[in-house]
Amino acid sequence: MTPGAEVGNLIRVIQGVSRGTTPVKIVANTATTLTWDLPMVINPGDVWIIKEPTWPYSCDTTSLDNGNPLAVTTINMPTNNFVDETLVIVGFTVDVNGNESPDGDAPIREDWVFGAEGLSKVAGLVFQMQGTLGIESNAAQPLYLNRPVTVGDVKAYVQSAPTGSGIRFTIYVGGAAWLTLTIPAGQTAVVATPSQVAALSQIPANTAVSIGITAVGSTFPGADLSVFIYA
Amino acid sequence: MAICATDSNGLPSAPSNITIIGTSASGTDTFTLEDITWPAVAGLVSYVSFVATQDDLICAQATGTLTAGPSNTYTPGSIAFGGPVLRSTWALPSPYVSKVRIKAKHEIHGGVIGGSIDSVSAGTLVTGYLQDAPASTNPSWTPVGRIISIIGRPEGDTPYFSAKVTSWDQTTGTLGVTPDPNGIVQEGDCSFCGLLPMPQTPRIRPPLPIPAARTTSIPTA
Repeated sequence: MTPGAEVGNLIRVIQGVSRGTTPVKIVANTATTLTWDLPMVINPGDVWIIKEPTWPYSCDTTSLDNGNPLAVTTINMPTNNFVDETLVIVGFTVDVNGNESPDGDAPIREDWVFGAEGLSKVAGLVFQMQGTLGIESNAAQPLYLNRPVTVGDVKAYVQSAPTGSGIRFTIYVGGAAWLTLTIPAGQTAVVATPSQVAALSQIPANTAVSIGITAVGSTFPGADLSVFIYA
Repeated sequence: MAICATDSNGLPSAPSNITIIGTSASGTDTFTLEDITWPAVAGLVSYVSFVATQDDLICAQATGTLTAGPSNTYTPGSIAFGGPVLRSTWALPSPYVSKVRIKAKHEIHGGVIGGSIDSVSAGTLVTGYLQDAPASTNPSWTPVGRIISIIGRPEGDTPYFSAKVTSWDQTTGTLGVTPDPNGIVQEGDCSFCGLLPMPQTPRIRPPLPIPAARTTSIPTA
């Protein structure tokens, strides 16, 4: 453990004499020891966990009118889109006055969330070419995706605009030309048009995506080019 | 101890009053609840007894059949209970429960090793995460004696399964565990090997004495 890093987190015993007691707060830790605030016995053989102090996620059922103690219900609790995270999930009962059942008595589960990367519109690939630009076939290191991606947008920016003529670059997928864009002279950005985007093929997984610069400004080439391919 | 009668749909009656019963220190007693008067309503078919050694843990322990007599009376008139007392089943029915609340938070440390299960056979789990010698800084480390828990399954419901590690082959990552995981645990399941205080060299310091000013503080939970 990193000294001091656990301060404020909670210890909960899940097997042993202190199972069922209210979690206690860590007030100090070294690399190999923990100190907590209130008396709680942990014996050899007991099993315990460390969890964060607050409950970021909570979900209530509607009011219950259920006389069957064995009835099964499903409760969906929205959380962030976690990837490879462990959550502690706990169930409480709440009375008509809003009082929760005690934390220590609550049934708990540890749950590993495998998750998956989202499909929101975020940059899927970024090429960056620093310094003054020149014509070159492999202007940046090729990139690879771990899953097929349907592209929603392509944008490019330069920090210093080309003069005299524009910067033209081509993106290649698997060695085949995929999209060519031009940043006009005196401009610092270009965005693929909707018709260009609509015509783009899906980028397959595990296929080299590369970029070549085929023209630069005739007076000043332009400098520091970034090309964003958004999913 | 308390009891409920249940109908053919499993719906319980209002619970009886709670009876406090003293037992001997041995904890091996049997006690009998006598002179039971069941609710005088038609359709009762069974009963559930609720027992705990702590107030907040009272939960269902045993069930039995009710035999209908004349005028909505039922037998048996007495119930014996000899334990053992289960810690957690389902709670005494309460008319005051309004709803259920589920909460979640991040687990910071759930165990000393976390990894996926590579294969399962009778009495054994194999995980590549334990296929190596312990670190040179702690060469005597072993998972034997720890609890391994299944906490995730990539697709499908995670089984509620924990087992004690009884043996470890560090050359193959094979763990002998009890109870038998075969048929419950699957390849690809995610597991944790639980945190334990070390009996030889305690890693958990006993709690500090509580300063007087702290005795009324409430831990953030």
